[in-house]
Amino acid sequence: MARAPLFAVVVLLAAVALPSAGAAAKGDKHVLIILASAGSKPYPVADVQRTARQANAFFEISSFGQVRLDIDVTPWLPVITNASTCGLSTRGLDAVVAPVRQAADRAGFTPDLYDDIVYTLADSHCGFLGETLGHQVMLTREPTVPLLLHELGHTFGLGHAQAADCVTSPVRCGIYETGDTLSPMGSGTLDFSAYEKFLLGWIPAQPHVSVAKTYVLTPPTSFSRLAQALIVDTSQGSWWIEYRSQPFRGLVFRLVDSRNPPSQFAPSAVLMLKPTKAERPWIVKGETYRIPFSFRVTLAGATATRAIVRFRP
Amino acid sequence: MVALVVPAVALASGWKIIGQGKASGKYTVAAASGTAIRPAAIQMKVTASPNLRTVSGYSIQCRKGSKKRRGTGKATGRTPITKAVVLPIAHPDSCAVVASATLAATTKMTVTIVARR
Repeated sequence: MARAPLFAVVVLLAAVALPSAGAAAKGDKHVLIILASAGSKPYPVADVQRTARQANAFFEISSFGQVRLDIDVTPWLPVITNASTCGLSTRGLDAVVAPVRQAADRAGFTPDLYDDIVYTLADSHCGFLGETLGHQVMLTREPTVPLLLHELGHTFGLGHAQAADCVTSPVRCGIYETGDTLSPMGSGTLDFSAYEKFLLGWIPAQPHVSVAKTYVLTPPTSFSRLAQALIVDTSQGSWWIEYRSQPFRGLVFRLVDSRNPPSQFAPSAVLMLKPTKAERPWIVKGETYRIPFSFRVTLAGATATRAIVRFRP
Repeated sequence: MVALVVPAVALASGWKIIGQGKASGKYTVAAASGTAIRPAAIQMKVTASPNLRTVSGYSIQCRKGSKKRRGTGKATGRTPITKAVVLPIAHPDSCAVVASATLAATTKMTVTIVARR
């Protein structure tokens, strides 16, 4: 769980009043990855380029082709000095990365022309793995695909994908800050959630349901005129129910509590890790998820393209 | 625990790894993503230790000029699994692929995407 310290820093910084990154991502996104060190070349530029291509593939599939990352990677730039510090505020980050931006400029890149910039500071001796502020990401370790997906998700305005392992309300048990085992904004690599795709503008507004009815739900993995999530508004927050048909067929439940304190990121969703006694983060055909005194949902049918969902308040 | 690793490995058979992801535990998902440039063929491979029965699937989006096509596929069975990824366009310029598999029991699983020109 090497990412935990990194995320902790992101959470800490989220409490600081910062310019909003805005939760939307469409079209071509130009990203510059600047490799800076004190003179070493701890990993090959080609590896970072390959990682960038993999991250682009993920975004292209997850967004149904609505987002493409056009990522440039600089050569290693020997600009880190012993005097370099780690900024823990917007001003501090700008101060840290200013010489790095200048070095990238001298190397033929123009940072101002990019939508997002990832600074990889190899010899920085910072006490954390990285941070995201607005459209700038600072990493102190080699970029990996999950790390890039996660931090670019932050630059697009997404918050952490949290999780809780109680059976019903996450209010009643602890929350794992990055515990969502399916979303890259948590600790997963399957796909962004329907909630996150809505925030990013990849799927349209989804129906809010409150009356007993049977609904047809399609997975949020392609364009559809049918519902790709059901939203149930309760006193605890809004439940987002989505159907996944690959690699498992099941309903996934997340709670969005919009009463969360203001942040530069969108409110987090909390994945229910154990909605049934089966202790997997989804329910399968024939299973029911019950929130006492609130609602119950049964997955009545599950195919490759759609689910039949029985909702009872 | 989930991780995506990106080895730069050209296999002797002409297949090249374009994406690889690993996961361990139970009831999680191992996933990999990658981009193939002018691929003639793409495969998805799922391995696990210990071996187990799993459900895996892939999504692919290929481009040829301004034309885009998507496709999906699945494979169910006991690991190791090798599944040919169907190219939705013949002779594409590039294809983005995401593959994933579920860990229905406690195991270590690797999902690999390979391509050859």
